Amino acid sequence: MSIQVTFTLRLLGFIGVFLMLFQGCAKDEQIVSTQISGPTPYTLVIPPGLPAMVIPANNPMTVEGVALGKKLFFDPILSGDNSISCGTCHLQQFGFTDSLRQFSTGIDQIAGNRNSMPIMNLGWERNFFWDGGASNLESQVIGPIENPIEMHETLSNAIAELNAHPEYPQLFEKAFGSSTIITSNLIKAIAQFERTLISGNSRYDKHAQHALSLTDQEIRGMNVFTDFDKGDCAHCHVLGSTFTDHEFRNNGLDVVSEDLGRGRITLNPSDNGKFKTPGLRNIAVTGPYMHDGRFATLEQVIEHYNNGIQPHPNLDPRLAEMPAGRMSAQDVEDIIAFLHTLTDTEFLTNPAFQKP
Amino acid sequence: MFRKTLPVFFLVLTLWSSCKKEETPDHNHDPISTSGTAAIHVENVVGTEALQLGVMQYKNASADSFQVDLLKYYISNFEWIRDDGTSYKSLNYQLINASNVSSLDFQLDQIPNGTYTGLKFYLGVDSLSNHTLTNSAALDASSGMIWNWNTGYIFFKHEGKYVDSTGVHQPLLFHFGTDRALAEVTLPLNNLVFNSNSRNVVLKLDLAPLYGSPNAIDFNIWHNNQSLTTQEFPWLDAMKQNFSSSFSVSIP
Repeated sequence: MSIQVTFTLRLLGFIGVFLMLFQGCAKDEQIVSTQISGPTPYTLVIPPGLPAMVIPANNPMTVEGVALGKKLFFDPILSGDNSISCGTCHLQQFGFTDSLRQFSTGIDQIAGNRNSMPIMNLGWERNFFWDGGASNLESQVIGPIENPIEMHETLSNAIAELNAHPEYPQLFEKAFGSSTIITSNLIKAIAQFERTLISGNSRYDKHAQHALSLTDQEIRGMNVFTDFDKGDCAHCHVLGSTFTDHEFRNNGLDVVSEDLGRGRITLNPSDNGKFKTPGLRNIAVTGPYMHDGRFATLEQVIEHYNNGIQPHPNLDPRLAEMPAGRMSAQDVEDIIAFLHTLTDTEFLTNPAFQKP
Repeated sequence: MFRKTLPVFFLVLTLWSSCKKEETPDHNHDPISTSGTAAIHVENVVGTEALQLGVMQYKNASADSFQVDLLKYYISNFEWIRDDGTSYKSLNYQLINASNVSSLDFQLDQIPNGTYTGLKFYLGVDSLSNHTLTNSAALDASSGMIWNWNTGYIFFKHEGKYVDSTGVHQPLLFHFGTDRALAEVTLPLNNLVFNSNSRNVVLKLDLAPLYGSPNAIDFNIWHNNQSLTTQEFPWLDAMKQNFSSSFSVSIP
């Protein structure tokens, strides 16, 4: 046997040992991964007109988490007297707002001072509530539960009731790996469900994807919507995607703001009277409008922007420079026709978003 | 031959040992311990007296009588400082609740053996954890120490009564917090030695200096303060400064 052959055989032997070791290592990893059989990852389907959604690393979407979040969203167990749920003031057919109410009433029949916000496309928002006071979707969940004029429940009570419930401990176990229910998992589950509430299949979207053509009036309305000298709505309600710039702005509702809005959160006087720019999807069914629901109809909203801007110190500079009466009666009709193309019937009737 | 196979042998050895390490990730305690544990006990006092809840028997520096019905606060991110200026950080949040004795004792472990001359910590919650309510354990949002409409933790809560300048009992409510209010506390340690052992450490919060030094907190002026408006800034800043001189540490 030549030296060369001996060396080759030895090398093969070492490679064999190496492979065995490598396999042994890999096999263990497989065992580990099957031992930790966690919840099933949930695949979000994002419509073509919307960007990728960034899911927080500490709350990955799972099938079990979304299902649990949906059950919780519609369960009055989270209110002080177990009489109302999140779904009571956030109704699907109204874009998850509270029907035609200006102000919702909580369990003690006390009305608030802000209009129930739509729950849709929240996975693309940066902060929550009209003033952005909640810095992530999970943290937002706690506000309405504890607010004395809303669900008026303490978190500690809610958690105790959930832990004593015949089903919830098991459902939390499936979703989060622990049957002991804690606040963070409660709010994570509801946020997961809310991130599935995506609207992106309106007639406008189909038009944008060349699947249908809007009517002449609707096209005219879209042009007024984007025209710098007419509506210029798109300046803040950017055309397409979520129809919002996610900023806080004063839109000239009052000379003096009773509700400080964003200023209440930042404590910066230049933010007083500023509120979140809402997205406009399903806007035809989410009235009344503005943070305080003062306008019942879209006609009143457009009339405000056309003729009613008040000189607030923090008035948005773009609104301040736009002349009154710049839109004709025809423009107003057209713009409203365009806004109706943002109604997404599939979203408003999707059984996946309904009470289980 | 030996010269040629040796590298392969070491390659296999390396792979084997790296594989082994992954198999037993939790098998890492050393046979000889190189760190100690601090068993911390918190005492809430007013001057020389241990704090009693629900009794009108204390006076602040402005001579206002007051009582405490509820006292809860966060202390966090302990840092053990050595003589040479180096330090060890025990990342930790602790919610102290005067009405819950089990909250007054906690342990910080894995403090490297050595001699320590200082202890630094914070009254409050750092900004990384202060803007989300998805935290758990001491920071669980159901502890009654959050603002739910303006995401953040209440660092310190004192609810009770005071006697106003006309002799009438009035409600006293302090909810202290926000990033602006995070108060650093640094205390000297008299050469505390950790040598693979457990050391008792007593941490004291004294409400007398908290409401008196260096800033007098006059309850006739300040008695209902909840941190979340600009009008609260003078109170917030005065309290923050007082917190730095209201804690003390002793090694029994």
